Amino acid sequence: MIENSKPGIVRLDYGPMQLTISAQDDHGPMTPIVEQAAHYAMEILTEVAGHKKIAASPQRELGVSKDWPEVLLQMITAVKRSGDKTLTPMAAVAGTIADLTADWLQLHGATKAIVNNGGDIAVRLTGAQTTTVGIAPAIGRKPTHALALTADAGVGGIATSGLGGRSFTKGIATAAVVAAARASVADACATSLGNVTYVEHPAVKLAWAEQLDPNTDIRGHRVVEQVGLLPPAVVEQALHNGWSQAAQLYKTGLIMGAAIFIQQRVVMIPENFVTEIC
Amino acid sequence: MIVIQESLCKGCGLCVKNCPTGAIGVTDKIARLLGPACTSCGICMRICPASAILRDDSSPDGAASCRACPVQCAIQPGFEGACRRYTNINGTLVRNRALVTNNDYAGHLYPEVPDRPLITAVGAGTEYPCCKPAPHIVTATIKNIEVVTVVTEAPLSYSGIKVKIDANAHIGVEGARVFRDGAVIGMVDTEEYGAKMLSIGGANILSGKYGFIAARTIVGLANGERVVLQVEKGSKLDIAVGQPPVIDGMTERKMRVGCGSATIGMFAAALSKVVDEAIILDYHVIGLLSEHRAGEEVGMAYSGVIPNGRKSTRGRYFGELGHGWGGTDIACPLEAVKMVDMSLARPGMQILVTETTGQKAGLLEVQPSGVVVEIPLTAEIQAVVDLIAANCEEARVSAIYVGGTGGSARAGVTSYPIKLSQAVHEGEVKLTIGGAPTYVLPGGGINFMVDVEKVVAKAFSWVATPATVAPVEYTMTRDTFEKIGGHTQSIKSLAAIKQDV
Repeated sequence: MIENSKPGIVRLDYGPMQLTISAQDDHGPMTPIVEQAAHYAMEILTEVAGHKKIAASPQRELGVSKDWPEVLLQMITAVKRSGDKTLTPMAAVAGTIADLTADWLQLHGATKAIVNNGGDIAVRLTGAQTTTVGIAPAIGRKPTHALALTADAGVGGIATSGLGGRSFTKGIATAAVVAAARASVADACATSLGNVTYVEHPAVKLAWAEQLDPNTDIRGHRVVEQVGLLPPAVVEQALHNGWSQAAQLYKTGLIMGAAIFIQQRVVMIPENFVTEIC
Repeated sequence: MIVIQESLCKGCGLCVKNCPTGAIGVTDKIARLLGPACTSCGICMRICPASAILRDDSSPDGAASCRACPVQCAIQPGFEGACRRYTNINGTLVRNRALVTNNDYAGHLYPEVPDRPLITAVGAGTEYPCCKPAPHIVTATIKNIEVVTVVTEAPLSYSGIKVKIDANAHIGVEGARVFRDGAVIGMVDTEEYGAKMLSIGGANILSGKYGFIAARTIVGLANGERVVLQVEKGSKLDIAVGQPPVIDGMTERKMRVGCGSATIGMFAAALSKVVDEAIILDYHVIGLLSEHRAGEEVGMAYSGVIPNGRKSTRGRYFGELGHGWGGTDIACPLEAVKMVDMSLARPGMQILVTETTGQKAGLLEVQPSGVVVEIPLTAEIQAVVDLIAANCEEARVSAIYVGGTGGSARAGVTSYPIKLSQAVHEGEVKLTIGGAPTYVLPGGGINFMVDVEKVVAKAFSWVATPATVAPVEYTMTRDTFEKIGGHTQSIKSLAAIKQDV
């Protein structure tokens, strides 16, 4: 279902995917182009659905094929570059669809394109265009922080992973937010960072992924089902686990920043990566 | 040209100490270029802890660009390159030392002494204590000259083994201890071309707490037995001389053809015909085809692909050591590309990622968005990868036994041991171990090295002093034997000895 709320902005509700697409060029909102982009996004999702089995395969089982669509190839690129071998290409699906849709908009003349795929956001800015992305400390909460972006920043994607989202996490972070050159990479790295924020504690309840969703891509993996109140030391340890991994990814240049939120606490790299909204 | 950003300079003087041409000085606590001696070699830029030094693409008027190595110095008239080997003489770079055609030390000094002993010492036994003549002192006439060979199975408490493991994989840092069954028996030595080195045993380890297990390891390796060793904070090594090494459970099959840069250098022409870019992963230097001098040589221009590594010089990058491709920490082709500069690159560009052994290879394609994706290798690209692999030697473990023949091993020959040592260094006495040629280290003492695979099979043993026992043979003319005070009364003829065998 495509819903045109404001000029140049379209909401698309299509099966598992909820997209908000906006684009403008130097003359203003590009409403018809944005509507076409929504159709393009649906085509991409259909392509993914047609290769569902490969997209949900562990990395070591992935081969290489000429017949795979670009969306699948970019999903594979993103998870492999994250360096996290536990991720299947599905860990980057939302970001990759956002990326491809935003690339399409840029190709069709957009100087500013923002595609929000359920919290995994692709951003394309040209020239003097800027935007500000709100960062929420937990899924479904209001933003408490913001990330201001310019064309020069080189950030093409911001993604969030955490407890209570559409997909499972193996950690206790309520939000692991990552900025990278591509939303696909941000998506994969956010999933990876979320996963490493695990600390064993009686209040952290685990479940097998397939018990919660028989169609999961990570059968046989333990995921966090519920988190009760945790002592500050446990939260600090989980934050530290996430921060260490984020620092590693930041050092290699793969990500441009990360922020990890757990129970009212936040750590980030680099310093002032996101700023608090007053 | 080198540009020093004065506002960032802390005046530490590290650049002054490192500059090969003395072109930098510190005045008023700021580093400054002193004149035309600077060749823009970039050493200062690479060592500056404050990152205060930059190099731009410009070159001083009249400077000649040297192409003798990847540094590519810009040498001003009358000055030398950073290597001090080439001088700019009126615009032409000239090697500043004339070609030397002769070395007075070269050539055989004692051709009358045969290269092989009359008999080997394997099975000869040992005479103890030192003052007795060696177990066998044999004579025979070879090419009209009477030759003497003295043999003994000498217990050497100064002994060890240097193990050469042809491998790309990182096994541990140099200096790391090497354990066998929890006992320290040696260490990781300095790396050699395409190979990791272990130094096992030696007098101090043999006389220490773990001497027995060290002696057993030296002898085991020297005799070709399989041994499992563990490197401190490193790999588990399952090795036998003559066999491919097994490192952390993985068998190393091929030895690299060269570093990543050398591989680009050797195969640039073939690579440039099948791909737009190639990244050759290697633990020492990662090569990038289009940017490399060899790429330019075959008509390529820099593609815009930025590999995952720290840039050293043109087309040459340093990676992190690990268990990934080419001994780096890169686990798959997609990790080999840091990013693609789309102002230079074009969509559809194909990037080959492979190793210096050609064992693993993957093909990447640049998308319009600058993202790279992995695509199948084509047959023609695989053929070039196979060409690299075909030029690699089989990886294997080899070893050099190192020992010093001191008291007992010399007094059995002569009553004047120093005369034997001097004659060995002079070349008048040839030292063999189990029939194999040795290299005698310069300086004092008879410290030798021998390739264990050239020694008679299973020739080494050990005694519980502890010491390893090596079959030592000294071969010389009868004249030399008499001159050095040899035990002439104990000479037996070769024919008589052979009859007893």
